[in-house]
Amino acid sequence: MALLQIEHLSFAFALSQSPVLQDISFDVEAGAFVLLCGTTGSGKTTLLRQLKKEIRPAGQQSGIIYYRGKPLDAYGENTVREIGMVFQNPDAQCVTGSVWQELAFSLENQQTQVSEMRRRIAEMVSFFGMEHLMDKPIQALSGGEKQMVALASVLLLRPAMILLDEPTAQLDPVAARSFLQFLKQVNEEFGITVLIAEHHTEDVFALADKVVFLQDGRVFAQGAPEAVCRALYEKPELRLFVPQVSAWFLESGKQGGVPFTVKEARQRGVTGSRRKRTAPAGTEQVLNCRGIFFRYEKHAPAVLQDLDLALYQGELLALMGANGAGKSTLLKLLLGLEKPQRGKMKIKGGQRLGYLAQNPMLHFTHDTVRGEIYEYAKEIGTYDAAETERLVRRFGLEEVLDRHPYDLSGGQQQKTALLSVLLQRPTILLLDEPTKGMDAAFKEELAELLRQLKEEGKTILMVTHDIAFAERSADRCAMLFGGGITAQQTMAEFFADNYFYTTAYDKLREEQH
Amino acid sequence: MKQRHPITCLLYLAGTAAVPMLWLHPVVLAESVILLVLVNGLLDGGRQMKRNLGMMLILAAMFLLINPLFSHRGRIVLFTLWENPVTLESVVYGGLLALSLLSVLLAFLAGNVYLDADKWMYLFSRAAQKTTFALLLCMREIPVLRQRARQLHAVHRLKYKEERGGLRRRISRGARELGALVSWSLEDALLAAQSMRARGYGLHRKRTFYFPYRFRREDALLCGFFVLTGAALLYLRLSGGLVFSVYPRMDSILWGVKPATACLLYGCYLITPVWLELEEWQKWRCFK
Repeated sequence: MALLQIEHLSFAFALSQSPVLQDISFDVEAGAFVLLCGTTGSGKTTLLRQLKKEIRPAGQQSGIIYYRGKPLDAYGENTVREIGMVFQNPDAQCVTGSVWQELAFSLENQQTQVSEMRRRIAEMVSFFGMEHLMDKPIQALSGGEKQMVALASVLLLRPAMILLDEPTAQLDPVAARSFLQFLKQVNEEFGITVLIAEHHTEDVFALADKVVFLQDGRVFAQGAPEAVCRALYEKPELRLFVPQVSAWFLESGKQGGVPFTVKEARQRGVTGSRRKRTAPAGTEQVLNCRGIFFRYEKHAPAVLQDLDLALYQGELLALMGANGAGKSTLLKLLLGLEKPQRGKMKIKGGQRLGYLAQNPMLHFTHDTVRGEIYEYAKEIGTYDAAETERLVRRFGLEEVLDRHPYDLSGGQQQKTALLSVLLQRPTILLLDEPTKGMDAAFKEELAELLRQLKEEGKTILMVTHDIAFAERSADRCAMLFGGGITAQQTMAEFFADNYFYTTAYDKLREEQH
Repeated sequence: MKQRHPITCLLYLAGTAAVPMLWLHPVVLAESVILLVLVNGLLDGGRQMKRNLGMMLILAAMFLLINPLFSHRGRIVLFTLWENPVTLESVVYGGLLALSLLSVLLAFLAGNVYLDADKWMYLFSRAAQKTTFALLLCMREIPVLRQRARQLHAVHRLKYKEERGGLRRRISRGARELGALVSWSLEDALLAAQSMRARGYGLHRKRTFYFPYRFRREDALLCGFFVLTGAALLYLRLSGGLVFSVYPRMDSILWGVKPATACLLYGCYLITPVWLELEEWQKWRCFK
């Protein structure tokens, strides 16, 4: 008997006509690592919420969810301990000020005695290797560390199953990878069942025992990762969700098992392909930094040291580097929000900068998307009826004009924010991690939008961790390390010359060895 | 001192803050200020002292100057200012008040270091469970709000490049930022609430409260020491002979067994953090 059996589950939000989930049925075996994926708005989050009684949204539910053979509703408060949930936003998820308080929080709710709490926290911290974090305030932790604390807090309740709602969406790739590895370790060492909803299918397909793919609230495919992969590949519009190496394998028509990692791909003799792109023609410099030196405070370490960077007309430069390397700081300097202690920054006359922050919610100042676009354009005096209409249609935002910006999906928020930036009529766009937490379909849309913007003559500087997206859209790539730029080349050269920090295509090329 | 149990810390703070407040004796106060400066320097390298030095000196100077200007009691007149006599007694009393204030401020500055927010929480939680938890949530929110406000300000500045700074415009800009800050914080609050519910908050009416402090043997010894010393000081004070009266006649600074004992006891009390540190230091040296 499976741990969790979902039978013909349908759900519609209260006051809503259309059901978000329709006739969903699948099983989760005890100890399995199940990946739940799908297009944005396909109902992954809503489905996970149905499984956690305490946070189930109001609405009409039909169908039955069986947990350990009994309907979920028949359980009392035990489900809090049995089924734990980790959410997407590392900042909002941790409710207390310091790490030990956060860990103790779940146990305090269970009225655990102090001695028992001390004992459990001690063993947990030792197992996770978190001693060095214990006395730190939560604000001082990185995103990855915060998610680990959240996971630890849930594990302290000793659950049988953990639900995770896109836990790596807000994390950089390094932190995401280590979080997923840890999750897999917890799953294998303790047999805790894991049901994880993710966009980032590249890494998780290799780890999962079973994959369930949702489309428009229905189960499109479920089963072993390989079977689901093949099913997704059959549909052109869903091909984006197939991991890169698997897609190349299926494309080549070879026989045998589908590879999910570079290792497996090499064993099957898969080589990748790269889409051809025209090189940009611009040779004019629109932005130039020489010898930039910056530190936040007098006795703080230097964030940027002797940094040289040049940006050419009409190109898209991807600025890459580790978390905390100084990429966002560099953007702040370019925007004039901070001043460098030494060095010169020259922006060609007549160029205007536009900035898209990492969190699109920072950009919203009105109650509706319509207000965000039309009223804002009028407020800053750049309103042009025809052009604004065209932009709205191009960004595909006609249907959501009357919604509150906070109610939009991540991708729609990003588009709205970008549109409002474009209304400022910038000629140079500074984008700070535009693909954070976005699914493959949105990334395609964004790549296309950026290409169009380049054609219109705009120059784009994009800070990103997303290697695949940089491969897709960037003309040149630069690496920020040790306070300076260590490499500044065309995209193809950049990734070809790198060995580790590179794309799947380059990893599989013969010349690498 | 930082590693001691909250109750021990509270007793220490009570002593170091109460004595200068209630006992205006020049030797006691001088001792207070000197030793508290030492303790502060030990606890955090004097960082807080440096930051607040200006304010402390200004307040102390205020007392020193205002008292003689307004109180004309006393017999020995130094000089006349604006037809008002400035007496030695009132100057001395002003000086005593200034020292007293300095001591109390220094005591609380030190208290900031060894009695941090978590320990206060523990002390409060004994009394009011739910209030303490609500306070905890509020306190974690403050730095988060500050960070959010900073980020919002940067983006809004770029979004609305208004150089014109009329008062109305600035108010409306501020209101817009505040509105965005509140909306964003409310959204995050929803997520936080979900996270709390998902971990079982609200299931039971009473919650336990975790604290990583153990009342160890050192704490018992220290508390005992503080209580005994405090009692001894109180006895000495009440039995008289140590009060330094300024009005109507200033005493000469008498010395004798009782005052000396009092100063010694109080000195020991104050110096506790210092010899705790020295003890630690000794232990490490022995290990090497």
